[in-house]
Amino acid sequence: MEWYEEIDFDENPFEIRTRMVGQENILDEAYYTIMSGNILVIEGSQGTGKTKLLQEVVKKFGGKGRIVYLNGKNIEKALNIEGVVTKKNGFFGALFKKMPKNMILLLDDVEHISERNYERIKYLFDMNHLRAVIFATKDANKLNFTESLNQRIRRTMDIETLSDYEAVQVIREKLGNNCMNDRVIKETFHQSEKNMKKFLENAETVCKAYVDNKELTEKDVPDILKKEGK
Amino acid sequence: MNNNLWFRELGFFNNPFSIKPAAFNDKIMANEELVDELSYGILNKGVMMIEADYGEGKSTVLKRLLNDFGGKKQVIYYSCNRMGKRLNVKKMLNGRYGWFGKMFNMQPKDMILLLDEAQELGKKDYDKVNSYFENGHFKSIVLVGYGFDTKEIPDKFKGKLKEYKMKPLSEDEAVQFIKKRVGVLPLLPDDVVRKVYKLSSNNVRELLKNCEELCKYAVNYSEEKITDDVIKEVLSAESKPKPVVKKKKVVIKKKVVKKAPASKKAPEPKKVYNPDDNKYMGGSTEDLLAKDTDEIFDDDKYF
Repeated sequence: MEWYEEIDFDENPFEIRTRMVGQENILDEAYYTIMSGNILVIEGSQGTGKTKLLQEVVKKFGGKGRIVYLNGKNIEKALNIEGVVTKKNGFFGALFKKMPKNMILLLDDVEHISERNYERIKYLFDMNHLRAVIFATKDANKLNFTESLNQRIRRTMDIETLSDYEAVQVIREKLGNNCMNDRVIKETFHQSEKNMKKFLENAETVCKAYVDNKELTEKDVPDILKKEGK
Repeated sequence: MNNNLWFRELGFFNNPFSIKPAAFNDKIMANEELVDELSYGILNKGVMMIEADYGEGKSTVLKRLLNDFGGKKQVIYYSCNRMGKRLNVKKMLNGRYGWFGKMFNMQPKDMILLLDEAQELGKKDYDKVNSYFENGHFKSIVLVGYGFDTKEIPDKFKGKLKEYKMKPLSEDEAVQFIKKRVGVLPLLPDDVVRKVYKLSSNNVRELLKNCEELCKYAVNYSEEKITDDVIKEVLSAESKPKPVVKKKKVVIKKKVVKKAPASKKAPEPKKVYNPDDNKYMGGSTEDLLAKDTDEIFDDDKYF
């Protein structure tokens, strides 16, 4: 019997995708950017929820073949962004270079994009092949935008780390209200140095311990995490 | 989300302050004369170059020309920032006849070439364009860009070039420009547009961005008019894009290896005829005798 079955879950609750908690202003900004046709840069260190934010955008605007999502890890230096966009129209589109209109380009975790590709993005944006572009990156200064693209960027926004209350909300979203008390969750959040990825991993560990010992308090959390070597 | 969009609340379907060139119409406010001159030049087989700063409407002018002359498969519009290392003029010309053009290398005559972002062109590109121009494939050429490297332009081409500069919009024209986009909007009276235009350092793209921010703020906070306080609050809060240090084009100078002055050579001995030195045969007479004739006389050596 798996640990989560004891608290009445069929699947591991930490692996289920849930609604995004917090960062409402950035999410609103991202939606607005797409609706109004602009370029937005989102800056945030690792584990602050950049990918989650873009996933929310995909959820909202996806399903119509409008979104191009590229992860920085998969971007090669020799990549031609124009080619990626033309793929939308399938084989014949690529053959006759038929360009789609009003696409949305989401670039996740980008660290290096060649100057040529920036210029291509600029061209596609100007010609309305791209309606909006969102860059998510760790450090916007490292991206070295060309000046002409830099002028088109509407805003650069920082993702802030979640507050304690929002961290509790994230777990409540996954586990419901009856599992673990708020203080335990807050302590786990502090132990994870407010890094979301770490926090979710640690919360899972603590939750496993909670299943064995329902009277778990926040004082036990550091010991549990130490035992697991986290 | 859709209901909260400020421009939907004001009755626009799309963002009226879009910064894309010629987003809704290609009406040009300040540079109407320039467009006339360019049109005249295009009809009279001219080569023209427009240089202007970012956001002054270079691409808009080109789009206007494209709309004026387009539709007869006569115009080639190309943005040079899309090209690879070199400009492929042949491909652009072939493109007119589509697939067949590529198959049979068909090249039309009397085309009009509009090149955006032409500062990217190199010396070879200019030469290539020039040769096609001289052969009559291009009737006229319009180059548009910012920060041309004059060293790259060959003298042949320079002789034909006519340079034009763009005028920035005056305050009245900026007001007209905004009116063209949004009509008479009580939220955004003329004097506010004038102020914002000044604050945007007379840059149209900045003006559009700032107007968007102001209108967004005013609608979200249900302000009836944009006052000075609103301008102060919005434009100071808005994170200004970090100034980018203009990159200077790094010209890689080819290292010229200076040859050390050759020491005076000893006078060469007079040539005495020797059959073994025969360069066509390559090899001593004994070696040659051992070989077949076919081996000695390759195809190259016959000629």
